[in-house]
Amino acid sequence: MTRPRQRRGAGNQPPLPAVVLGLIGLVVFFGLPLAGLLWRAPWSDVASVLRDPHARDALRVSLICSLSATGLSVLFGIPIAWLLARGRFPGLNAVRALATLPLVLPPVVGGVALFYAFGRRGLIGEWLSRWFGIQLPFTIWAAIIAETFVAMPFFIITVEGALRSLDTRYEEAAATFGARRWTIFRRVTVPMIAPSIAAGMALTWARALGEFGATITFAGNFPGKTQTLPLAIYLAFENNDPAGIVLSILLLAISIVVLAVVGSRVFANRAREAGG
Amino acid sequence: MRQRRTLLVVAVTAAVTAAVSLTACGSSKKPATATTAPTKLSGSITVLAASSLTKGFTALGKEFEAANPGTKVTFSFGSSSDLETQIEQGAPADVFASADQANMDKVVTAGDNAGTPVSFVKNKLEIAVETGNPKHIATLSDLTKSGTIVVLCDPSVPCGKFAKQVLANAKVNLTPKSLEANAKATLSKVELGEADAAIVYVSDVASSGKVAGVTIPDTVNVITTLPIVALKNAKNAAVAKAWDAFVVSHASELVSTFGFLPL
Amino acid sequence: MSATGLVCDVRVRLGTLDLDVSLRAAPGELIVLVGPNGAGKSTLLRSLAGLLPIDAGRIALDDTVLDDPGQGAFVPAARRSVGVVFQNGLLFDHLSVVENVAFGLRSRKTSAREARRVAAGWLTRLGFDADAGVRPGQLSGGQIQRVALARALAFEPRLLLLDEPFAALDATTRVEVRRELRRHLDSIDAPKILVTHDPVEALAMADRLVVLEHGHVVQQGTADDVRARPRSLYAADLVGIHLLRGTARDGVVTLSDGREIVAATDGALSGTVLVTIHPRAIALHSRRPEGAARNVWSATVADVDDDGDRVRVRLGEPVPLVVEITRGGRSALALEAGSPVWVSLKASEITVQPD
Repeated sequence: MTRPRQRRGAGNQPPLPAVVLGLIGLVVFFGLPLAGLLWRAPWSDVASVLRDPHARDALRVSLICSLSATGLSVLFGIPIAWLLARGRFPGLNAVRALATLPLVLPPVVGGVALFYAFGRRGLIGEWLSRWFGIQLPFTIWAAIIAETFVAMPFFIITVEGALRSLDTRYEEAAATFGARRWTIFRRVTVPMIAPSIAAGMALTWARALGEFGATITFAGNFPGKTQTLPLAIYLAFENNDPAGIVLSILLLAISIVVLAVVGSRVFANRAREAGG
Repeated sequence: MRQRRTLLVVAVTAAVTAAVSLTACGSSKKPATATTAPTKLSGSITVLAASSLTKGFTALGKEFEAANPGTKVTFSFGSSSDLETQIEQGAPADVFASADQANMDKVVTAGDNAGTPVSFVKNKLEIAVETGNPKHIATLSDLTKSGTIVVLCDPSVPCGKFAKQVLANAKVNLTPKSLEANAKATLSKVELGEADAAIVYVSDVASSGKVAGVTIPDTVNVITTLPIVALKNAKNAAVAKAWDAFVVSHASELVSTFGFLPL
Repeated sequence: MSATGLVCDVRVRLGTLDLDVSLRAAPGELIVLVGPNGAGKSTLLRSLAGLLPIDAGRIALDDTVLDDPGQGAFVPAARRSVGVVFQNGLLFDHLSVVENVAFGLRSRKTSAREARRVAAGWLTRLGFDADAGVRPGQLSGGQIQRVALARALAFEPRLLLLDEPFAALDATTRVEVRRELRRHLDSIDAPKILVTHDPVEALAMADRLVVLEHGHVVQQGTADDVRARPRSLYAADLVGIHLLRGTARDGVVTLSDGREIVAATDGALSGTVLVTIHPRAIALHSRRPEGAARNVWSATVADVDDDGDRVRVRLGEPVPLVVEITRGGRSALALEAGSPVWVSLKASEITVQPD
């Protein structure tokens, strides 16, 4: 008995083993954990947990910190990415290693390092405290700094890649039309890598939102001020408080919605951008 | 034909991987074999203990291993509520030593214990300040002085629960700068010089060596009893029980060297 | 500031290229720059545009020094008044057509509204007939080139550079756009330098043709000059003429392989010479021709290329030449690859010039 001939576009579909592996991976690493969470969720308690000011405080702090961290990452990340992509000086690789260090550093170590830099007795912190009366630890600014520390490298890497693959002829053309460096940057370079900047921002924001170790070490934990959603969830689990699961689902829901909305537009645009 | 063979290989690999990981997880669920032979102890045990017992138990562990060659004691220190959750979730452990009765009660209620918990030391709270007490803190109400940075444990962990109680007893209205996840983290803020004061256990202050202590009067203080119990799912029930007995008999060492209180 | 045009002596070393070019371009003059790949045409344009500082020499435009390493003077690209039309247009895809054209003006601090007004004017003048509010991605090749030209002209540059502006266009569009472009360029007072590979464009548009090879100018002159007397293989190829080298004596030129060619030149010419043979000087015969033709030899056909209209016959040794004949001629001579054929060259159609 002959098998019916299968019509398949030669290069359009991945080979069967790859599809199978992909599906297994999706289910095991992404689907099952999420399903486990939803299965255990105390659905009857969801309303009361979400109405609790505790939960709303945590959400508010999380959003403020993660959005601020993203903003700072963009502000400082673009120049750093530019330097790494276009710079030509000895020690460039050392600078890149430095800028991406937080990626390999355990977050708690990052938190401790931030203490040693910005704490009351820290390298800079001491001066800030003595001369300006600024004390960073245990404030929401500490949480923002901690989140920026861990999340900025994601932004830098994304944007550096985009800058590297950008066709420099457009910037040269802009120069011949009379545009000075800032104008070229503003009107040509940045718009041309806009999809990558957006993708970087999405990644950075997601990382900042989920940050725990560096935040709890450097900023501490105080409801309404420095207690972010991950911290609240951790402590709720400590207490066997079912609110922990509800808050986890809340965090997941927010992340999924944002990443889905931003992701579809951003990643589709990146394909266009790559085509030049 | 080639596609089918590759698919078979993938499926077999996946199945083998799954099987191996399941057996690895399952191996810890073997029932404890009862040993009646009294003398030669051997094997290793995992002890889940409150973080306040870190230095004390580590020292006792070495003594136990020296006294019973062939045994090995591995510790996992953390906040008692954390540890209790782990036990409930089936973490492989032989012994549980809690910082408070409440978490031990949860373990007993869940039926994870083997035998009755035994108390071995007591503990109470103390104010930890920087060496030399530069801010001249003498009482609990001094903590509310403006410009004083105070950190406490989060109320979800025992030392935080107790600190709240102590402050209520003393009728002191304190807003801390941070509520840390466990006593060690709380104390470390003072050790690092980031906080002026913290409320932790006397044992923590004693084992630290980097901070000074300010006594909290017993009239407002919380005196907590630390219990220990062998766990039902212990891999090595004999060594677990032996360790329990060892701890109880050497409790005085915990008192004299590590700052705990006698029963 | 007077309009004296472009005066440049450019010496640049880039990789294996050693560029050494002296060029003058009068106001309004259209210079066509040709040469093989790697000759240095783009490098020269980049230096003029200010994207590549020169190593030695001087570039002056309308008496303003743009680049003079000796004096330590260098005007960066953004501050030169040089308009460039790039290959493939190189329009900014994220800006609309009118924003593209207005770019140069806005960079020079013209208000957005004024810039757009001027831009729209240029687009109309250059015959752009699509919606100026769309993005370049939706334009055809010809329209892209019009926009690119408008963009380069909108801020009224004092030098216009065009780098193979028609390279991306198909043959028909090319012809049409080329005629238009010639008209527009004629009305511009600034000196213009256009780089092309297309011989027809080069010969049709140039006021002056400059042939660049290996970083040096090997020939300059009007199209007619170059057509009549190409001085390099590239130039000859460009104008569709054969170029051979040999030694002349008493009216006879001896080619490098020993063959002798008789040319209608005065016997006074001697020494190394360049011989140009126009295709119409060559005739093919099935047998040894009678008559006064002095240069006659038998050859073998290397291959025959029938492109529908005309037939190109490539001859092999002893003198490799390409001849164009009609289809009728081909069948009359029964020519295939490998066929024997007799070749005659009319001496009067052969030019000889000193090398």
